[in-house]
Amino acid sequence: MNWEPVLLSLPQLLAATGLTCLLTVSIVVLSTIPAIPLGILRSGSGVASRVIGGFSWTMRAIPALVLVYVVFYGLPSVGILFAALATAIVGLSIQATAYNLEIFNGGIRSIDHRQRDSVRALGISPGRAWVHVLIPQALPAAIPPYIGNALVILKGTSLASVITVQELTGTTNILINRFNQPIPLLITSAVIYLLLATVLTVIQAFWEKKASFVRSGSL
Amino acid sequence: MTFPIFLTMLSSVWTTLSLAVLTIGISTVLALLLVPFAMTSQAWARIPVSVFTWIGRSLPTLSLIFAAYYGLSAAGIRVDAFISALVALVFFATAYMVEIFRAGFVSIPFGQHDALRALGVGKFIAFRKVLTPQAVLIAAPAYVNFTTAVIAETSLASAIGLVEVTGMAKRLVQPFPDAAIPLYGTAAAIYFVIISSIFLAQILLERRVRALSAIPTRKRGRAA
Repeated sequence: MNWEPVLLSLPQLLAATGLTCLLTVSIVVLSTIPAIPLGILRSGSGVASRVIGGFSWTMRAIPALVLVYVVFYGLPSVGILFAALATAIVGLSIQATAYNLEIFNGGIRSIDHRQRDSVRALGISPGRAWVHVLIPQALPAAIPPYIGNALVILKGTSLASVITVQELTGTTNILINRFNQPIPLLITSAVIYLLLATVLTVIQAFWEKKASFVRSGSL
Repeated sequence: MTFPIFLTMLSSVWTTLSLAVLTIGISTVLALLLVPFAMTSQAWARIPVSVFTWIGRSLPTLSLIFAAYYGLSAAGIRVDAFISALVALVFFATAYMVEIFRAGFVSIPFGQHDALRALGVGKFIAFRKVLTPQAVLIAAPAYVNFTTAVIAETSLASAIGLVEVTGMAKRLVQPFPDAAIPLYGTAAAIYFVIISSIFLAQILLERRVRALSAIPTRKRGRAA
């Protein structure tokens, strides 16, 4: 096996890995921020919960790739011109929001409902109740699926390659066509993805330990 | 978008469905064969299976599809886009299904193993008649949920030129660039109908199962 193409294109592969990380972090952040209030609303009952449930149902029923294409062609037609990178971030964040809000909803529902009643009975304001009492308790149940979704986001960033963003998968394809040496390049990109996935697993282990400490400390 | 174009879009549903059904069928059989190895105490059998499920779940499906496409031809195996996509999707889906089935078995209370041994029930019979039916019932929601993910992931095969639903939209956009939104919108609607009907079937089935087992349960949260 000829590893020269990998050595020659190391700077390009590193830049592409950086772009994959940038995409992952942006999408995780941009999908978490709206998902927290949406997840809280979803855990209630009534119209808001149903509308949000319909949104997450729809997002789970449409492939991310089709969504990326719709945003890619759809935004310019309503006069919004984004670079391909921003388009990918928007398209993938919309879907990730749907998954994250359901994860937070699940975490909130895992809390004993008497906790919500007690907080109200003690006259604690809803804002403080969520920040200091309810969210810390919802966290342990939400962390594993949340990191699981971050892994799905990391893998989903590869879709940006179809709209010309040269992240890791896109760059690997370009290099395969240039050097005509698929195997070493495919192995290299796989190893990079595995390393990135391992980083997420390590984050999960640390965070779960911390969250369980918070939980046992507060009760 | 005219009616003939809509019919052309619909004609590609067959490719999407056959790719999805073949992937789910083959992966289910492979995963059921691998699950015993994933749960054994023998390290030589367990470690290769866990390494496989780790890789299959960590790599992007799109890169697996490219890997199958370029890798198989580099290895001298000439296959078309459909087979390349099928190989990659089976690799991905089997890795997930092994973990889904394993979780089903693991969640059976351990006392049952001891009870079966105390009753003198053979290992094979115990697995087939007692443990597997329970594990299947526990794993069913996650399994059905995952089949919808497989259907969505078949769209990635369009990246290597397979003309399934997404690939058909992509192909029709070239002569009709102004119709990009209706074309991809139609593709989205087709997936929405297929996957939603599975969601609905799952909701109805779970209701049936709960009524049959007649265990009073609290209002169900959404499946993860």
